[in-house]
Amino acid sequence: MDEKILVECKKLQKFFNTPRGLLHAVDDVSFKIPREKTLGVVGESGCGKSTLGRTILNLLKATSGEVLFDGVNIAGKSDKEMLPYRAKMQMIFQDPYSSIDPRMTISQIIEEPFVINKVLKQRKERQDRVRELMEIVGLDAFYVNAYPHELDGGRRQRIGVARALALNPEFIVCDEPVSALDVSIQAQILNLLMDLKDERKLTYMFITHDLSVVKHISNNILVLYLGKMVEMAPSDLIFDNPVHPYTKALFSAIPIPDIAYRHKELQVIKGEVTSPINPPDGCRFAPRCPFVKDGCGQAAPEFRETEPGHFVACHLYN
Amino acid sequence: MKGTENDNALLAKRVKARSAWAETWDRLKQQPVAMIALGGIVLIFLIAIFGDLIANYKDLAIAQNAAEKLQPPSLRHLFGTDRFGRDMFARIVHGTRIAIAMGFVSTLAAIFVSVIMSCLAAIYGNRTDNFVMRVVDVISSIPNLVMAIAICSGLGQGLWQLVVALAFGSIPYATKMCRSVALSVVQNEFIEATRALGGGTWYTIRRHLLPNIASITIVTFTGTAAFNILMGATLSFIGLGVKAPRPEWGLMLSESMSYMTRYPYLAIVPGLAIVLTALCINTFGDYLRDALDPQLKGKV
Amino acid sequence: MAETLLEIRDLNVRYTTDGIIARAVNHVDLNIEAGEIFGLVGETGAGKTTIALASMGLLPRYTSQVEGSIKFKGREIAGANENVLRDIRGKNISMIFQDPMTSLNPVFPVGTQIGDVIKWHNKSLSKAEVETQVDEILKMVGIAPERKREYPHQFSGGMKQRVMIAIAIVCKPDLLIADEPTTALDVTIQAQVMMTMRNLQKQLGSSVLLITHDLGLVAMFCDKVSVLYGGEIVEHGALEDIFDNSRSHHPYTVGLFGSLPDLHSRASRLNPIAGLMPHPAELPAGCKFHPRCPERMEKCQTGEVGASSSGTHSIKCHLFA
Repeated sequence: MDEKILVECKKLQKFFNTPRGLLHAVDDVSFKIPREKTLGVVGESGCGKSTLGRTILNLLKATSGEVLFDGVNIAGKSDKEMLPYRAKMQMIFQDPYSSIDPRMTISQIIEEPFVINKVLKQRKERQDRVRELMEIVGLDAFYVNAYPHELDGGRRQRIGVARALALNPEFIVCDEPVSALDVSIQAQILNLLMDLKDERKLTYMFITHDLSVVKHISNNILVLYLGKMVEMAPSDLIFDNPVHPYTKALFSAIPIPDIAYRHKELQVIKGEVTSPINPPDGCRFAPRCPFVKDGCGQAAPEFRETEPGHFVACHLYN
Repeated sequence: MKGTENDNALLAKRVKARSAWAETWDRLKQQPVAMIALGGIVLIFLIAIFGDLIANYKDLAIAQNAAEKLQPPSLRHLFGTDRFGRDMFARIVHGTRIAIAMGFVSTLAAIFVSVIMSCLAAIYGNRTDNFVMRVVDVISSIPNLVMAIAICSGLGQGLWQLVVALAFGSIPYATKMCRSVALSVVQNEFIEATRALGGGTWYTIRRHLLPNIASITIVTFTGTAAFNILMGATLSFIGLGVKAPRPEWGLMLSESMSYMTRYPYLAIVPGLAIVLTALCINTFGDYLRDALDPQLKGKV
Repeated sequence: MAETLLEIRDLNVRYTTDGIIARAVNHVDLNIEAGEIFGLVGETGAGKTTIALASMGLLPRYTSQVEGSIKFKGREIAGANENVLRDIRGKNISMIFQDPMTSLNPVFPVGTQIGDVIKWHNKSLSKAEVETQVDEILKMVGIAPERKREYPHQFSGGMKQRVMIAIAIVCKPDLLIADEPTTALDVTIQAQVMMTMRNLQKQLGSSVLLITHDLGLVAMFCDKVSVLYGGEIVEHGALEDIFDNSRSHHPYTVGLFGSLPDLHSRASRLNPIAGLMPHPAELPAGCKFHPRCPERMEKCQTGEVGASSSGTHSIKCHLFA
């Protein structure tokens, strides 16, 4: 097996039982993330991208499939068995308001990883480490005893980053870490994440709905639609040559801040995301697809390589 | 990213670490009303503890003295005497113990059970939550009076049986309040973050859930405590709770009914005792809730 | 020159809560002409929504003070009484809010909610006439009229925002204020909603005040742009002025563009603006942007900055004074 692969998913599935049927949140997802690389996971709300991140970290139990972390399958491990892995894989959350406890001070939040994992038993040691971490993520030391509500979203998100870094993880799932922030703050946090990646040799899975964000930070990009993998390719390849009709629609729907593109009509795909509960056989994008043809509704398209490194699940390319 | 000078000024004073409780106390201290209410509560407890030093229980509060019956308030009898010639002041003083037992002890027990059930329901969700809610439904489907009758016939009549009945009766309300807040707290991503860091169930409850449901717990506690004092009085009145001649305030109030027009102090004194006690508890509870919330700092 | 619809002159809005004064809007001048789409760009706390609410006369009466003048077709809105405002709202100006989830009443079918608005403004209509109008308006925003009996929870976010647009255009207002109308929506749905809005704007010939933080949307849809920072308009111009790289811009506008990840470039690092937007209660003296400005000079720290303009383009910065 390839030594350099840090995280690998094999036919990962996560279904939820709902009163209306089985919700296919993540359906048959497989990919590999090499060490020190970033996989961008892109999709709209309801595509299962957050569920995917949580299932990989085993915060949600996978319905079936494997998650190999450094060669060990962690899917299905109990909370206790997960303990040695928790330090190595961390998460940065979307909402800087709900992801940190409003009743704790900044230093309590950042030292929590040490307290839980019973490392750095001395209070002094922990405090030193907290200050060190605050400096790494660019938080002024005098915030150490402030409460979260005294800080803005950008600084709160830095706290979330510091907490995730505390145990020196190898792998971090970033779940829409900038989508709740203002544009100018977004850029600050993105730069921080990119710098950290280089300095600390981190591997990221970067989940976002915003394609423009993911391009800068990702080596590979995976597009999800209703829990299914739609397209996966190296970042440059997918941006230069998106193949799947959904990926194309996603790209052309982004308003570009340049008046040269003003007269290009936004490509509008019809309809809305259909329900992920008891989805029909066949391609899940078919009801909205502008290129839909006979057979799209019958069988699910295979995930195939159309050019080296570029995978697509679409009947047009089979 | 460096803070602006403004941030520096605002936060510079916060560099020294202080415990959350010390900060709560600081905020509370600035509220004169909260301090008065706290003073009232402390006073009630002091009276309950040192009641025997203030007035002899047997001689003044229980023993009947026909010679001095229905005396208006005077220096000798601060609050006057009742129809059996018992000193109202002594009876009020000794009534505080019963009030505390009914108000605080029963509520404390009820809240303890409710908070544990709520936390488990919130953390484990699904079946645990359903189980807790069904238990609560069963309890709340029995009217308080019927339950009190059942408990008293099972355990006998008296103060401690009454406390058990009150505690039992408060569980549904307290659990519903705490559970609803606990459920919304566990929706937060910081609960998930704790799990991702390897934190266990008890750690999560202790470190995150309890502090975040503290304010609703306190408000529920104070509201229920005040309610239980009144409920205890009611139950005593209909003969299910504390029995005469014990100096229970509600009992005293109901005994004074027929004398109310001629001897109003007989109703006013125990009535005021009940109202002031309930008021102190409720008011202090409100201020404590605000002080416990760091987000309301400086805004209370 | 086209008719001026909304004319805002030297608008100042302050909020007072617990003795803290927040200067949300400072010396704002704004002109919206008939038939144009006007973009108001800024980040959280820049005062965008306050300007919108002031134009509708919707600011809270007791905690906000409004100075200056807001004229709609010559009628003063600032300080006008409820009767005048009610007449203007809906018929002349209407508004779409950011969050379509909370803007609809969950207990009435959407058709009823649209019908109610029609009836308020035209009481003489019969029930059947109202129904026909509801059907028409739903068709205009791209919703099948059969869905009018459904309740808001049966609609997706994008569909709800269409319903909100339907309600807003029911009385064919001259000016539609859209406050971050697509921020809560997915990109493909955002594209649908924005295209619907643009088509309606063309059909009805109304003006739109588009409030957004998304420069992409502005480039796509707007004719004129004002950039808001710290409650002040720091730069204003026709779309071509603002998006022209060869011209000089306000350092904040430059920073805003630098913060955007560019789909078409390969640069790996972004150039964000350092620091944070100041809270409206703690605005710095002098130029509001100077603590974050890479080009700040001595004189930026005190005194007011005047706007310098050339043609349709004006910038409020000492660099160009």
